[in-house]
Amino acid sequence: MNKLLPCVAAATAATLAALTGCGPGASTGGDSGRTTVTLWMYPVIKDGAVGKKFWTEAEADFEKSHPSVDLTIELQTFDKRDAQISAALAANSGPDIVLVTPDQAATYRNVRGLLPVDEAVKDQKDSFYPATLDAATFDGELYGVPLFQNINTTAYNTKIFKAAGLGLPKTWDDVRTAAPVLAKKGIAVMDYAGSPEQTLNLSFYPLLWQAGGRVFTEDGKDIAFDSDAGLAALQFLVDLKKLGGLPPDVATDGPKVEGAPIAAGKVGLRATTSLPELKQLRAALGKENVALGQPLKGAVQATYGNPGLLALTSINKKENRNAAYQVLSYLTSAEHQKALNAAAGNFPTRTDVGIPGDGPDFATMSEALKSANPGEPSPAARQVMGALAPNIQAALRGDLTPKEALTRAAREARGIVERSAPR
Amino acid sequence: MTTAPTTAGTVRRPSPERRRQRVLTVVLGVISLFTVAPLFAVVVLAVSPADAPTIPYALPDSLTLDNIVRVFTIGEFPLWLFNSFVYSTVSVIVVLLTASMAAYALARKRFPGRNALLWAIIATLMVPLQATLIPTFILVARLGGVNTLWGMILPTLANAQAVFLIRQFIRELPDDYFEAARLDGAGEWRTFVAIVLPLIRPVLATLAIFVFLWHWNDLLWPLVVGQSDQARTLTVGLATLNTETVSTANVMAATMVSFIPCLVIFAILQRQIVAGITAGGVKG
Amino acid sequence: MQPGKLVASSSAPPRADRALPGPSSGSGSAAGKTDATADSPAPYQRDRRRQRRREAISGLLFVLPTLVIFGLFKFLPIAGAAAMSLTEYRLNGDVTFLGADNYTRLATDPNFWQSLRVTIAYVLIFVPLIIVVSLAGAVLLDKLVRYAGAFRSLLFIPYLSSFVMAGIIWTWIFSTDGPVNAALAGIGAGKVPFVSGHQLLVLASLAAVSVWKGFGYSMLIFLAGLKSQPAEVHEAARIDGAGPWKAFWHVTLPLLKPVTFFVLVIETIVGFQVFDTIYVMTGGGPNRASHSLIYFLYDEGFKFFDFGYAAAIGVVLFFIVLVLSLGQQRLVERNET
Repeated sequence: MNKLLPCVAAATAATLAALTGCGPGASTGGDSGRTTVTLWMYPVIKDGAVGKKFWTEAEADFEKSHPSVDLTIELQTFDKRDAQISAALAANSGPDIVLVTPDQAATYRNVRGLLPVDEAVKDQKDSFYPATLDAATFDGELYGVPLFQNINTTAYNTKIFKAAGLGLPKTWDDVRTAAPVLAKKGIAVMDYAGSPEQTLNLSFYPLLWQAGGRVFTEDGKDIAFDSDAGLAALQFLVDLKKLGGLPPDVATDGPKVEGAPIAAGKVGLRATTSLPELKQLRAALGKENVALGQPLKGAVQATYGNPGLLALTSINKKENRNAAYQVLSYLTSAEHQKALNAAAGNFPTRTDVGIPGDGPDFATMSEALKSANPGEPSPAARQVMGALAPNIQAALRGDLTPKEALTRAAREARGIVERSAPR
Repeated sequence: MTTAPTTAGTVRRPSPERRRQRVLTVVLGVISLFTVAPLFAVVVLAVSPADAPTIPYALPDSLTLDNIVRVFTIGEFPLWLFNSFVYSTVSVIVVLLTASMAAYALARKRFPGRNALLWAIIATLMVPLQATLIPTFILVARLGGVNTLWGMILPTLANAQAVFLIRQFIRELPDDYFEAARLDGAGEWRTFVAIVLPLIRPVLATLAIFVFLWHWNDLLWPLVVGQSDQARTLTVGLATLNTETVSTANVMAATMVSFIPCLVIFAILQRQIVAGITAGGVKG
Repeated sequence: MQPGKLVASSSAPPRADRALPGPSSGSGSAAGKTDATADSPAPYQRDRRRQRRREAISGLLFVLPTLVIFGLFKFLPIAGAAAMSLTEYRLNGDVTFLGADNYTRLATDPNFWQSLRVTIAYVLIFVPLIIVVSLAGAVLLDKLVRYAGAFRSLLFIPYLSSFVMAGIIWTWIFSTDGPVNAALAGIGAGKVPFVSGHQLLVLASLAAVSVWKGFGYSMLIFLAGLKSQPAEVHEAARIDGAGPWKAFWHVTLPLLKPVTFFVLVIETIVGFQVFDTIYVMTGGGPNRASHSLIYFLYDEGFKFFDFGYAAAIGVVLFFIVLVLSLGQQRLVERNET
C-alpha cells in the first residue's frame, strides 16, 4: 500500500499533464492589441470546399482593409445548431456575430442573447429593401443586418402535366382540379413537407398567407392562424390529401429533394422551391422537364423568402463593439453581397446590388421576391410552430378535422405566447 | 472454450456437435444479412454518382470514387482526424485505468461511503446529457477549455458505465485469487496490476471498444466545445458538410471514411476479448 | 479522512455490501472471513482493526481519481441543472427564482404527459427486444467454434454506424417506396406506413432501428460475461447429462446474472433517453406519436430556450429511471435466492 499513493498521484499527474499539453486548438488571441471578432457562418454556400475558400478570402480581405481587427470566420453545421449556440451564449464564450433567421433573432433577443446593430448600418439603411430590415426590427431596434435573401417559388414537372393534358396550375383551384386527374396515375399534384422538424415557413405558412391569413396578430400579442383564412388553408391541404393530391408519406416528409417522390417523378409541383433545389430537380428529372413559375395564388399570391441576418450576440465585449460593427458593415456592403450571391445563388438585400445572374430562372425568382413574406418573427414563433405542426399532421392523417386541429393548436399556442411575453 | 467433445461421436456419421455447428453457422449467417444489408446500401450510395436521384437497390451503372476522394480534400481533414484520435484514445486509456481502480475498490474493499458513492456514480447515468450540457459547458468555459482538446476530454472521463461494468465483473472473480495475493504479502498496487488487471482483460477490451466508439462518433459535446475549425473532431467536421442540399452520396462517402478507423480498432481489440479468457483460464 | 471517522465506520454492520446493487454471489466472503475472527482475543482484534483501516485507506485511494473527476464534471453540473430547474434561466445569465413553478407547470402540461406515455410505450417495446436479441447473438457466437470472429464483426457492425447514416438508410427502408414495402407488395400486402402510421407501429419501427444500431453493445457485454465463465462448471453440467437448454437455463443464465443486471439497467436508461433515432427519423411525429421525454427536453431547452423548464424535465426523468433501477435490483436479488 505504501506504493499505492505515489502510483495514484503519478497517474493523476501524468493524465493532467498529458491533457493540458495536447491542445492544438487552443486559441490564445491577444496579439499586439488587435481587437478580435469571431463570426459563425453556416453553409449558405452549398459546396463545402467552395464555401471554405470564399470565407477564408473574405476574412483576409477584411483584415487587409481593417488592420486593427482580427476577424475569425468559423464555419458551423446546421445539425444541433440550437444546442451549440445556446451553450455558447449561456457560457458567454463563443461568437460575436452569428448568422440567424428572423425567427431565431426574435427568440434569441427575447432571452437577451442579442444586441442591437442600428449603429453598424446607420448611414446605409436607405440602401436596404425595407422588408428585409422589418424582418429584423423589434421594438424599433434592428437586431440583425440582412446579408442575403432566399426566395422560394413554384417548380413544375412539366412532363407530368403535359402527359395529363393539363395546364400548369397557378391557383389553388387549378391545383384542386388537377389533383384527381393525376391521382389516377398514382401521381401527387403537390409536394408538402409535413415533418414537424421542418419549419412551417416552407410548408403551411405560405398557404396561410396565400389564403390571406397571418400567424400572429399585427401587434404580435396573440396568434391569428385560427382565422377563416387559416381554416381555408388547412382545408385545402386536407382536401388535396383526400383527393390523392399529396405524396403518401406527407406527414413525415422533409423538404429534401433527393430521394423524395418529387425527384422520382411522382409529384407534379413543389410550391416552395429554392434555387439549389431547382438545380437538383433538373438533375433528377431532366432539364427540359422542369419549369419555374410564380408563387401559387389562393386569395392572394404569397411565398416565403427568408433573409439571412448577421446578428450581434451578447458575448461581444464593449471594447470589440466597434470592430464588430465594422465587420457587419463590410460583409453586408454592396460589393461583398455581390460576391456572396454569385457564389451562393442568393438574392441581395440591398437596392444597389443586382440579381446574382441572368437567365429566366433569376428573372422569375426576382419577380417572386415581390410577393415574398420574410416570415412572421416573434419570440414565440418556433414554439408556436411546435404546437401547430403536430396538429396539422393530425388533420392530414384524418385524426382531427381541420377545425378541431386549429382550435387545439390555437389553445396551446395562446399559452405559449402568454408565457413568452417579456416580464 | 467450446471444444468439440472428443469422446462423443463415432466414425460412421457426423457427430451431433458438428451438425450443431452447421446449424449455428447458418443461423448466424441469416442474422448477419440483416445487420449488414443496410450497410451495403451505404457503400453503394458512396460509390454512386453524386447526382443519382434515389437510393438504388443494386450497384449503379457507373461507379465513382469521386465522393470518397472529395472527403479527403475538404477542410482540415488531417487535423480533424488527429483530434478525433487524441480525443478517443486518451479517453480510453484514462477511463479504463481510473474506472478499473475505482471498480476494484468498490467491489473488493470496504471503506466509508462506499455504497453511497457507487449509487451516486450509477445515478449519473440516469441524468440525460442534454440536461447537463449547459452547466457542463459553462464549467469548461470558466476553466478556459473552449476550443481545446483537454476541455473536450476532461468531462468525458467521468464514465459511469465503465465503473459499473468492471465492478460487476470483479465481483464475480473467485476469492481465491485475492486471498492468495494477500497471503503472498503482495502490496495493494501490485495486487491490482498483477492480479486484477489481467483477470478483467476481456471486459477491458470490450470497454475499450465502446469508449473509443462513443468518443469517435460523439457529435453533440465536441460540437459545443470545439467551436473553431482547428478544434473539431472528424465527426463534427464531416457534419459541417451535411447541408440540407448536399447529395446523399457525399454524406455516405464521408460516413464511410469515418467508419474505417472504427473497424480497424474493433478488429484489433476484439481479439483481446478472446485472448483474455485463455490467460484467465490457464491460471484458473 | 480523520482516523476517528474511519474507526467508527469500520464497526458498521459487516455485511453492509448486501445492500449493494446486483447479486452478491461470490463476493462478500472476504468480509466473511475476517468476521469469522470476531470472537478472537484482543491482539487479533487490534490486528483486525488495523487491517480494516488499511483496507479503507487503500480503497479510498483507489477511488480518488474517479471521485475527483466525477465530483467536478458530473456531480457539480448535475447540481447546477437541479438548481436551474427551480428558476427561470435566461441566456445572458439573468436568473429569476421560481420555486416549484416549473414542476407544477409540468404536471399540467399535456405535452409532458404525452411524452411520458410515448417514452414508456417505447421502453416496453425496446428493452425486452434488445435484451433477447443481444443475448441470443452472444450465446450463438459463444457456441460457434469456427469463424466466430468473423460473425462477431458482422453482427457488431451496425454499432459502428452513426445516427445520421442510420437515419438516412432506415428512413428509406421504411418509406412507402422502400424495400420493405416493395417486398410486402410482392406478397400482395398493402403499403405499411411504418414511420407515419399508428403510434405503436411508429414506436415499434423506431425501436427496431435502435435495436439494429445498438444490440452489438449488449451482445459484446453478454459475450464477455460468457467468456469469463469457468469452463469447469459447464463441463460438470455436461457430465451430469444436462442438455443444452437445461444447461443454459440452470448454469449459464444464473452465472450471467450480474451482467444481465448491468445490461437491463443500461438498456432501460438508454430506452428512456431515446433521442437520436427519433431526431433523424420522425422528428417526434406524426402528431407527437414519437415525441419522447428527451425530445421534449431538447425542444424546450435548445429550441425555445426555456432552460429551467428543460432542467425540470431532466430531474423528473432522473427520478423515474432511478426508481425503476432500484426496482430492477430488487427483482434480480429476489430471484437469486
